[in-house]
Amino acid sequence: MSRLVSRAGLDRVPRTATCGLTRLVLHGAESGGIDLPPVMERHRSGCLSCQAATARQRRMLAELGALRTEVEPVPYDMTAGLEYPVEAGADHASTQRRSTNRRTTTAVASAVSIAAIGVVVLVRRMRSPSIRKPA
Amino acid sequence: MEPDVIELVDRSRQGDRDAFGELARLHQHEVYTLAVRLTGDRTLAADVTQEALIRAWRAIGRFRGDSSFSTWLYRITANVAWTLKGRAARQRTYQLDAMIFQPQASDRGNPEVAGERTELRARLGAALAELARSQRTVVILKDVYGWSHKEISDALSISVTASKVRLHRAHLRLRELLKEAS
Repeated sequence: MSRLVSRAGLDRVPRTATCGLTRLVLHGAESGGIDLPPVMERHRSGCLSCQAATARQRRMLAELGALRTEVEPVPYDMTAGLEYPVEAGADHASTQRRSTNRRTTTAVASAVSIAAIGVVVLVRRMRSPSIRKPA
Repeated sequence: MEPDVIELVDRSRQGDRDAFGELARLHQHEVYTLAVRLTGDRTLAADVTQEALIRAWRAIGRFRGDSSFSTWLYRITANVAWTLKGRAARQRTYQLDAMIFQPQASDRGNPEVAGERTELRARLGAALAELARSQRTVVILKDVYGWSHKEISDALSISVTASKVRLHRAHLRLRELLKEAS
């Protein structure tokens, strides 16, 4: 919200407030996100149009809040279809299993790589003559 | 949490399927309601509800009780609904209005108030359905369910700033849509 206020230039606290500016931050002030700057508060208290907008905003928020108490009955028993395909806490167990598997795979891959490098070095040493003839 | 729920959660954590089944039965309506609101599609919402319950069962061992069980379950539901966005986008058949049209019990004594509210709700339902899914999700979680931006950002794996920006844009759009409709 502060970024929005900043983008709108409202962090500079304008000397005069217009209906447009006031309504831009009205919803934030009504839902408790930000404080309406004093200059806008003064404008609102003297502007019937902004007061009407405030009332509309409050009514809208109240209606939205009232939806909370209305419960939609389920069309059928949702628990009837639950056949518990997994054990409780399976997420945690599977995460641990995945983590263990990954560690094992990494260790095996590292060991194989080191062994391969060792074999290559050994073969090269065996093939190359220990005493080189001078050119 | 209610004592019964605490006991059921404890038993579920120890792998008691019956206890978890009871927990799921207690919360399925609210989970389904949240899923319907987030997806706007009852068929998809049923899938989301079942998937959320399965994920909750899988993860119950990690539930530490920092928040209430219902809050934890709603977070999983929001996450499931969000991750099924591809399907949700393909099935853009919003039926949200039907749910919002119903007048509340408290309005029944005053037909005029009930009428006004029903009309506002109808317009609000239509406006919500018009919102982009990302914006609608944030509006529902913040304005309907009262989640903090931090909770929303955790559930949807977005930043707190992104959550705030989406809410800001959603409110501007909702205001425009409500103005057009009136």
